Amino acid sequence: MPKKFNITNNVRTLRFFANEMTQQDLAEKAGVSRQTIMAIEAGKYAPTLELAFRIADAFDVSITEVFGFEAKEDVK
Amino acid sequence: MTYQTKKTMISLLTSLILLFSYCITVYNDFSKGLIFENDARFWARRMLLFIAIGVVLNIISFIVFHILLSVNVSVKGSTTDSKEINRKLELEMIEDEMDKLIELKALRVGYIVSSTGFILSLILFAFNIAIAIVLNILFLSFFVGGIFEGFSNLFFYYRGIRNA
Repeated sequence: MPKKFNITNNVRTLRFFANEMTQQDLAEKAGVSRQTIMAIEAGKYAPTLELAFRIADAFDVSITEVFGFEAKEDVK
Repeated sequence: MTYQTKKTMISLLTSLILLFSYCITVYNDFSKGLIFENDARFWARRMLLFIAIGVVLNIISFIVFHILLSVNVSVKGSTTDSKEINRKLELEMIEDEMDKLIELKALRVGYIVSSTGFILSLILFAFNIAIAIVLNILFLSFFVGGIFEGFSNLFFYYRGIRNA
């Protein structure tokens, strides 16, 4: 059975280092709603590749600095 | 609470009001003995009337909702500049990929409920159950499907769609 993975993100940290950029500002730059940014930050939504690139572009960093990939722990 | 969830709640509220008013009207007519089980024309008229009321109620509720939203944006932003209000409204009303995905998933739930009602009504019709019951199950299943769709929408916004 293939391993399950979680998409992690550093959006909150990157917002902090971008002069405490607001969620609304990031949403406007990425062309999405604030709710979507909130959901991504909370790990409730895994964005499409296009949106992931747009968010990375908003911070002027590479996509791997924004999003990560980790194996899910087995639930026993 | 964002625009999409507010919009869903308005539509849910409208559907619930319509459903309850339909049930109350039918119950009142039934208690007065005005309803005949096999009068399909009566039921067709009654259902068409409620569909028309539903369309009008939806239009009115959305107009009122958007007026209130504009007022809210102008009060919050302390501005009367229409361009600025429109810009803020556009930002608020933006529909992105997550909204579309949630809408699709909720729509699927709605279709499952509606089609279950449709199949149930066909089964009942096949077993010679009164046409009034068959038509009502069919009609109500579409209403209930819409309500399920609304609740699923809110649920997906609350829980998120991690494994989309």
